Amino acid sequence: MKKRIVSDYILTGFFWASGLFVLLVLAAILMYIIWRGGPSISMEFIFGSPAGYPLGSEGGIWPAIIGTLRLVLLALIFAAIPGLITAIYLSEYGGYSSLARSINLLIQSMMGLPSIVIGLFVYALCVVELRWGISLLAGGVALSIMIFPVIVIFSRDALRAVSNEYRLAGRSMGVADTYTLRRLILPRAAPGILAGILLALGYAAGATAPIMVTAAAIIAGSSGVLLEPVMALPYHLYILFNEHMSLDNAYGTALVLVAMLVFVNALALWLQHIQERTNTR
Amino acid sequence: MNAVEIKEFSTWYGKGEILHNIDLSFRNNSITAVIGPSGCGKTTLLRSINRTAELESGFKSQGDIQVFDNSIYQVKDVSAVRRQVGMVYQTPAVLPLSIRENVLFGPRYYGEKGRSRLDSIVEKQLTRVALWEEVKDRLNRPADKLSGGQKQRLAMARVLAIEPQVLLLDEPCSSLDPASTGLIEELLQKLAAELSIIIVTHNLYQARRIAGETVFLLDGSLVEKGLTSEIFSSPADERTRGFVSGLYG
Ligand SMILES: Nc1ncnc2c1ncn2[C@@H]1O[C@H](COP(=O)(O)OP(=O)(O)O)[C@@H](O)[C@H]1O
Ligand SMILES: [Mg+2]
Repeated sequence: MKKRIVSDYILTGFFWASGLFVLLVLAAILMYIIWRGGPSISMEFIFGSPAGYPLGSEGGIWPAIIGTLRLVLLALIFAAIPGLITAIYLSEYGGYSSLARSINLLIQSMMGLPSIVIGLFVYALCVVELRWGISLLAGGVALSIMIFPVIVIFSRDALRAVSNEYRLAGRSMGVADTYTLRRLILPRAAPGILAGILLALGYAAGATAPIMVTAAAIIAGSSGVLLEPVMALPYHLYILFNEHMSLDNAYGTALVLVAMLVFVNALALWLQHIQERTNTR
Repeated sequence: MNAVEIKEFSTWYGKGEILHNIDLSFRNNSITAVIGPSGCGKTTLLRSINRTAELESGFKSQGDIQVFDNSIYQVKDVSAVRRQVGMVYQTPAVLPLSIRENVLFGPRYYGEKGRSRLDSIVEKQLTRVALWEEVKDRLNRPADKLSGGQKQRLAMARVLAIEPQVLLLDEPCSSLDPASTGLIEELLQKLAAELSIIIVTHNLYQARRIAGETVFLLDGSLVEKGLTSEIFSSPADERTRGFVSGLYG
């Protein structure tokens, strides 16, 4: 009995220590980026276009911000509805059928696909074969393939977390499952589904590999034409670093990107909290 | 007239036979209690009468159940059977909607619309379960703020709102305090004027208080059915005598 208590204390202490360590690392990264990137942040930096020689060493990042927003939006348009439909099938209709099990396996494997492989696939198919060229559209497709499994898994689990009591209540009144789904299950799962979509959005916004070979350009206007290349924050950041153009601007770009991601993830966490609170009784 | 007529009815979950060759009838406009030890098949019997037992995997049945002379296991449209035979469960199933929308959940699905029509359904059904006076000022509040007894009455109102002809209740009072239990017993007695009520109860006093007839099940078989007064005072079967005197608990 006594031994048990001592080992419990040691374990608890270990968990606390590792949690604290992770927090410290996170805080250190954030502080460093703020410290290095903070001075570059200004209205011109955020709302201006890249300038100077080499291009990007001066000026701002507005086209990259807009480009990233466009890419992410496109990826969401392609992935959210099919992802939600797949999740509804898995949670409400598939049960233990072999189709449902295959889809689950497929989703799990998609999750493990390296994002550069997705990029290369979309490059071969869309950029080359379909002759879209390096383009916003191709980048949106690549990112949508990347976030699809994230959306499916989060939405599926959010739906599964909703009490079966409601499904049974609907059925014992002779009410169609779709009606119960629309009036009871989906509203209950909505915060969790939204949280998943937001996390996927953040994941897409930060990804470099899939857009590097499909969509991103060192410099592009913010035209928004689907078949033209776009600038994107993570790629811009990569170029600024890699070509030693301007470290200050690289850190400034990193700060903007991180700030966007922190905001989105915080929102997602909050929604997840709501989901858990409403569905555990 | 008989509301429910069960003929040579047996059920299985997988290979295990749960109900053995049951022959039983339930009268209209009356309350019948179903009693018996835990696990004897009371819930399965109720769920067979509105065809929700088949939602469990491995469920099989044989024989016939007629609801108002209609063989429900011949019917293609399960939904119509479940609408005709409502069921209230042990834990009050309150939907995550307002009080008003809980009552209207079924009616809306079955096509009721129009503000005044819906208002009158809400008032009528909540009055039927003696809840109207308590909640009429907060119809649009979430239903999960109600007390346990109120929730159970709301669940009844939700089921009654689709106007079933038979009402099944599976130990509806087992999680409620005596006052709430008393209230529900009272309103069941009123409702019996309009429909056929079958109630599973662990509380033998409850069966004695409200049921005209009582059915005793043991190990999935019907042991005895008769007037409640006779089942409790002079049962025909030795096993019934044992159970009602508390022997089988
Ligand atoms: N879904 C199910 N699958 C398999 N066996 C079940 C299932 N539901 C109930 N049973 C079994 O059927 C028997 C009768 O259960 P039930 O009808 O719930 O009894 P009661 O309501 O009288 O306590 C029990 O032995 C129980 O274990
Ligand atoms: Mg039971």
